[in-house]
Amino acid sequence: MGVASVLVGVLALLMMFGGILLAWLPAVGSLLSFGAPVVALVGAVLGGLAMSRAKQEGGSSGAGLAGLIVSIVAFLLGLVFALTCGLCNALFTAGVASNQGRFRDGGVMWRVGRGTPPAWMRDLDGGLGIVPPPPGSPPRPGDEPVPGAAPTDGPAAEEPPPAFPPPPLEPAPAAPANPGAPPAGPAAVAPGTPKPPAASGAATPAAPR
Amino acid sequence: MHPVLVELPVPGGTRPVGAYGVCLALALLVGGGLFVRRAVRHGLDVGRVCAALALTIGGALAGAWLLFVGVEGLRTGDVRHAIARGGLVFLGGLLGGAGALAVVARPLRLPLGVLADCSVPALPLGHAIGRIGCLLGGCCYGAPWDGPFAITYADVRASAAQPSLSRHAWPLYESLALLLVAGVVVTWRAARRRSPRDGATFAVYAALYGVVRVVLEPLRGDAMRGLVLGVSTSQWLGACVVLAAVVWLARRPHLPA
Repeated sequence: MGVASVLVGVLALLMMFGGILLAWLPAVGSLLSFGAPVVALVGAVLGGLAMSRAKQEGGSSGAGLAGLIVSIVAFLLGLVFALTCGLCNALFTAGVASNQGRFRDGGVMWRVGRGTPPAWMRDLDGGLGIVPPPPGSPPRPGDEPVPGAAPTDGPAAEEPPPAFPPPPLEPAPAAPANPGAPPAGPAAVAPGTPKPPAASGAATPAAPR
Repeated sequence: MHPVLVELPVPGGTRPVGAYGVCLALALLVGGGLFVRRAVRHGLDVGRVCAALALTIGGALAGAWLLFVGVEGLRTGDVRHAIARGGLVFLGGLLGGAGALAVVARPLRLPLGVLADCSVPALPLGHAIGRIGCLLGGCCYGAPWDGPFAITYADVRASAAQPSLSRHAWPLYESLALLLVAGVVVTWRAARRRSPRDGATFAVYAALYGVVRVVLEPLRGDAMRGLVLGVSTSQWLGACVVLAAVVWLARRPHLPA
């Protein structure tokens, strides 16, 4: 059982690294990222039981202890990356976000997928109208035009998708229209404002309550 | 604040390391360490305690996630997006963890009441650290407020910065309240002439935390609050936790183990 706990702990570490590197793959990134902490917990259970059994039988608890430590390390690291890479990959997989834009440093910007943002995403802004409403939906109290938001009276697919997370409130002047260019790029980010998430995103961390 | 602490360079780009994830991991490390240390001091087998802790953490994370998906799914009517979006609710974690501990204690031949008591002050201290992650991440935040202790999120990656308003530092309030709860419970336990009944320490903590949650909840500003009869689900759950703990304590408050 001690050796098994070590192997399971190492498997969890490998899954964690796989989740980091393959965050761009739909479903696979989430599976690996969220699976790593779960597997690590199994390794910790096995390690603990191996230690307990070794103590009862008077044997060495070294393997169990090693498995426990490896699993704990894998769990903690896996949790960190599951709540960033895994979460963003889940949004990507569900079609809520897509990685269309690119920054100067090569990082990829995650965006709300083309089409209409789901209803729940409108609630992320606290009802303040930052996330555009679906076409044809009745205006909410307090709805105001927001820079960067898609218009409510036109087809959303014709407009660049809103950034995820939503763009800064005071964006730089819009880039000149260029059909060949990506929907938005570095010019869409106002100077001095923090850049949106790169690569796998980490846009909004899991919502703890 | 700082929703992303650092970005790790990897082949093909970078990977962000979120402040909330780091603080949650740190909270589990500190809380778990205190829990195991206290349990070992009670003479429990460290291996079985570690196994129980791992299963309890698994139950807690599952409970926290399930409650989020349930509330969010009911609120929006779209469970699929609630699953895709992801989130954790502490009270779900408390209930899930307690349930998992109750299930695994007997097979592991561990006393449930002693284990529950060993989780204090580890639980409130770990929770306080986790709330610092909320503060840094801006994922749950306070209502608009421009009085004392108000904070403004400027990082656009934080939900609290959309829009960037001056707000109550709600996670900090709860973090400080949890430290106070931990101090009160530890002082209460130390001041008693004889040991309280097994599980009583945990019940006192649960009751105090429930009160904290009910009182502080109106100061929150994030929209993702499931409301029932105008009261948030967390307030309902907090009130239920208080009621259950008080009833449990009132039944046999002074019986020894």
